[in-house]
Amino acid sequence: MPVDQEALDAVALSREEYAVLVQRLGREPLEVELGMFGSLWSEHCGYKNSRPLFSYFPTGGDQILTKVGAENAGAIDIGDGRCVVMKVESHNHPSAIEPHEGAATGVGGIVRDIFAMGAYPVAILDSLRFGPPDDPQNRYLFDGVVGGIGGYGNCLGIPTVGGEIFFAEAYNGNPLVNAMCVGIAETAKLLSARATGEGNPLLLVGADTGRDGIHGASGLASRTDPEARFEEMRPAVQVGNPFMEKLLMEACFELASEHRDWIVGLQDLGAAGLTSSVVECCAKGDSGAVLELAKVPRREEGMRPYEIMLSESQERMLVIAKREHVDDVAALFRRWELHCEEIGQVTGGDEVVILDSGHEVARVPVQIATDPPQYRRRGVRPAELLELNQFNPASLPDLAPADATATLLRLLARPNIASKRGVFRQYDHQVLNNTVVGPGGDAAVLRVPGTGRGIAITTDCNPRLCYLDPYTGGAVAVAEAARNVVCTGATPVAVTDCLNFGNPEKLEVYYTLEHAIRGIADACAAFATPVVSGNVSLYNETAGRPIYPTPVIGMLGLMDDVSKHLKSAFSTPDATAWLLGQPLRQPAATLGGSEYLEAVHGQVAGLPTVDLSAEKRLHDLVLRAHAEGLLLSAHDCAEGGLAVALAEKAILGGLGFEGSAEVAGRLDAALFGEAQGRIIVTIAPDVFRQGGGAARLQDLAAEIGVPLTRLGKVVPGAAFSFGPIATSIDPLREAYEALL
Amino acid sequence: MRFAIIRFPGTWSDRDTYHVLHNVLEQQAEILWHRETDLSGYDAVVLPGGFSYGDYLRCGAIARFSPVMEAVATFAEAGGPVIGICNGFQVLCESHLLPGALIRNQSLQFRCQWTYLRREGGETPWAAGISAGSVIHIPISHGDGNYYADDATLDQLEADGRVVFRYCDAAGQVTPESNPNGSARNIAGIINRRGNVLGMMPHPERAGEDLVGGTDGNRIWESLIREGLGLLVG
Amino acid sequence: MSKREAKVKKEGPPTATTFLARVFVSLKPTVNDPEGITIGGALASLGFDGVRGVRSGRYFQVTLEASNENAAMAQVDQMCSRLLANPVIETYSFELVEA
Repeated sequence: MPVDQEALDAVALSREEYAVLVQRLGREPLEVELGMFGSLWSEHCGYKNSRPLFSYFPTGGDQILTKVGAENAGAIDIGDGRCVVMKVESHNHPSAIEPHEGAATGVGGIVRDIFAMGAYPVAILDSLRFGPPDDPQNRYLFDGVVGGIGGYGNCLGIPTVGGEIFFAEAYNGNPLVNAMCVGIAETAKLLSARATGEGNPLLLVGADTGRDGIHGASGLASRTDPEARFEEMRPAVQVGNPFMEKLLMEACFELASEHRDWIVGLQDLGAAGLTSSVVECCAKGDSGAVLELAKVPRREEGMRPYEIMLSESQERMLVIAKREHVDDVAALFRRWELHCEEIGQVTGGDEVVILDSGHEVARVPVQIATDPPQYRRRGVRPAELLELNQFNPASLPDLAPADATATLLRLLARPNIASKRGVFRQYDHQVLNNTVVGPGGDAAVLRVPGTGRGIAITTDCNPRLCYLDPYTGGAVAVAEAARNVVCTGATPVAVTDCLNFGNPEKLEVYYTLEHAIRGIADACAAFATPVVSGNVSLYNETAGRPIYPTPVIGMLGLMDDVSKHLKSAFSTPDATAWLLGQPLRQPAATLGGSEYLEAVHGQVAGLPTVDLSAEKRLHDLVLRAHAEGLLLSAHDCAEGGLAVALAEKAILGGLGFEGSAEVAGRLDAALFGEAQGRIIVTIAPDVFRQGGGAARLQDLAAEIGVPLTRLGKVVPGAAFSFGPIATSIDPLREAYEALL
Repeated sequence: MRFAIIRFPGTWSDRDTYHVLHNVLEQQAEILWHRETDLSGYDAVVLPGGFSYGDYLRCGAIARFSPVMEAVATFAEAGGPVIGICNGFQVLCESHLLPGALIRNQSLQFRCQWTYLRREGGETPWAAGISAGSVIHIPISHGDGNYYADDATLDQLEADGRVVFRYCDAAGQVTPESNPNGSARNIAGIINRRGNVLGMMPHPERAGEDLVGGTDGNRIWESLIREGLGLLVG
Repeated sequence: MSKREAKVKKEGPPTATTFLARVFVSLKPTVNDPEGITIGGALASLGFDGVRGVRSGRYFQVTLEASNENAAMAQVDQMCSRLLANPVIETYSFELVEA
């Protein structure tokens, strides 16, 4: 019987894909099977457009405990028998429809990925993108997303310690909500999402199953039908229950940490619900399974097998227990006041068989289900880039010295630069008692519980640069993330990424995806920070216009002694400030893609550049100098350039600054240009230090090959001067704190 | 001392409290599930922060019916020291072990930030080591910490010297700006008539080490440990 | 879709009349209601064995002036769909009386 177009549209399979499916199955799929294949072959679950490009990424390493993509998250050995487990994931489309619940369930999903590994989640970071906040619709989305993140994370008792927020027209109607979660596990107790051991029970624990989010994977996250999508998909909205998640998290952690031997695997139910979690566990365990849907506890009456298999009801986990411990496991979950139901068992075959009260409704070969068609396209460089890249900011009039102070104030108040304190004070960033540096610094710093070690974590991506040059933008996202980690005194060790792009079937979008990935890959290789996990969100478009390419990078850094972390703010009067890396005098081209260029000249244009080996030397210098105890603070130059970075150090430290460096050449480029690879450090004045800190810093810089420039000194009081800028930290703070 | 830390479904400050009491202050501490009905053998009881039962219905409204709460009431009646922090304070109010209620923050937003607290009057083992008028620095983290009681109750609390902490600025001035949640009369913590039960919204267990921002919270625990025991005798 | 039940006791006079709208907002039937589920569990543990389900919602009283009942209904309907309820996940109903 030929399948009709409507049925294919509902599961987002093309005619060609359907033909491949029929050919490989040797028959037409049943209704439930079609739904299952549609989900598993979706971009969201099957990565059919993006997976072929992942081979660019450097992945392994001595410290890396997981194979990328093989588990729910990546694990990195941090010594002392412990490991960090981390991943970043998107929840863009649900957040566009219902921002509060979309963001909340995004947090819930990524947290489950972490505790499914047997880790205890210790931190959440959020990387958010919205249209300009002065538009009421964008403001509604923004408030909803922030409320949803806080509402869920705060209730769970996991601190939200960092992230970033960026506003641009390109995100009107299509906000990005990427949530990163970091957990810590005993390496010996790491869990895998695998189903092995014929006869072992499959236990479904947590929330009852309802009609939530059916077709979330194939519908919302895997195609674009801009306006209709939202109306049509509204029944797909999931409402999260952080309270249930908290109980699940505690129960699963107890199971992993104290009764690891009772189970063979643990898996969360995310996109495509029961379908993907069972099939993926079987694929990993090289086994089959049989499920009896009549055993699945439901929240609603009259649910059909199709709905049960595709439901994306939140706060559910699949436990693959050892047969002899099934009662122990069930008792543990019951003690946590959670439902636990045996819904099936592992079989020796290679098929997942679905029964509905004994009646077979689906028989899915695992190998076919997990091997979707893959698409490797030849991307086409977007035509608009040619003109944008040829734009030369040197053709613009330079900033008049008399306007420098006003321009600094204006930039500090820009939504992309201004303090996000109004947001992060709505998040509990302290619970668990590990937060050493919370939100608002370069990277968050956490104590590793039970040790003296520390981790530094950050998310970064400047999407304007990715738009102007996807390769450079991708590389810069990694470079900036590593730089932020370095500014805390930590050594960058691993990356997780979330690739947010438009419709990859458009060759121009595919080009941006491929080149951003190559940029990320080259930068990861340069910094020896392999990619350990990630997620892809494609089809981010409104009215046919893709978002800025937004490859969000989550970076992990390690430090041996967390009490020796570096802070970003000025801390000590009379300390001298030095610019490490690209010098003060800069060509106008460094204004390309800058906040200044957009704020003052209304242009998003130019050609950004990055020098990865210079960047690496810069990181080496800062870490060496810090190891020798030379540094009092470090903060990198990012949006807004050098002047904004200096102002931030002064505002956060509550100390003034007296510039002494001569600002030569283009004033706009020197003050507000966004040349990559620059960190401002402060060192103790020579008189307080035997041997002279400045001389030693200069020696190290010369040895490693990093230019450095003395900028001036930190002063008590409020006066702030640098080149033609003359003001005090009070108006600077007022501008910086004005937003939100 | 031997502390019982009660864990309701949804509690999250249990581990932090345990960490500070056990690892930092080297006391005996145990985390007890809310189904526990026997608190004999413990010297003090902590109802920690969190979102018991997801804060559904009203914060603390469902937890007050937990089996352990009868034992907590008995323990308190016998003069045993009980502290309710954040959600624990809400549970104590819902249980009527303390007067008043904690309602939505005036800003309608969750607030996680450091606050200054001025020690007011009130004789309680939980603050015996903090002299009246002195200022301590402790963070808050809540969406419903706005202390409410009718004027008669507030007047009575003041008259009885049962307001133990008020939100203030760094200099100890009680000002509208230093009130982070709209609490009546800047009230951050109160005691029962006898002084053995303290409820407070700020989290002393988050101010136990310099590494995480300060140690002023320890002055509350140490009050009980060093001086409070003496007060209880007899 | 929204349900509207108007209970108006008498014909509105030609000049502005004060109405009281009682608005009930609840989650759509298939939307997950964690609060209702949790409260249901708590009621059961307090011994209310007969409880078969709890759905949570919110109740508003809106006092408004309008020229007549139809105008008031139209206004309240707009208030509900634009602000009081989130049409993505919630449904609403209201009743209108002259205040």
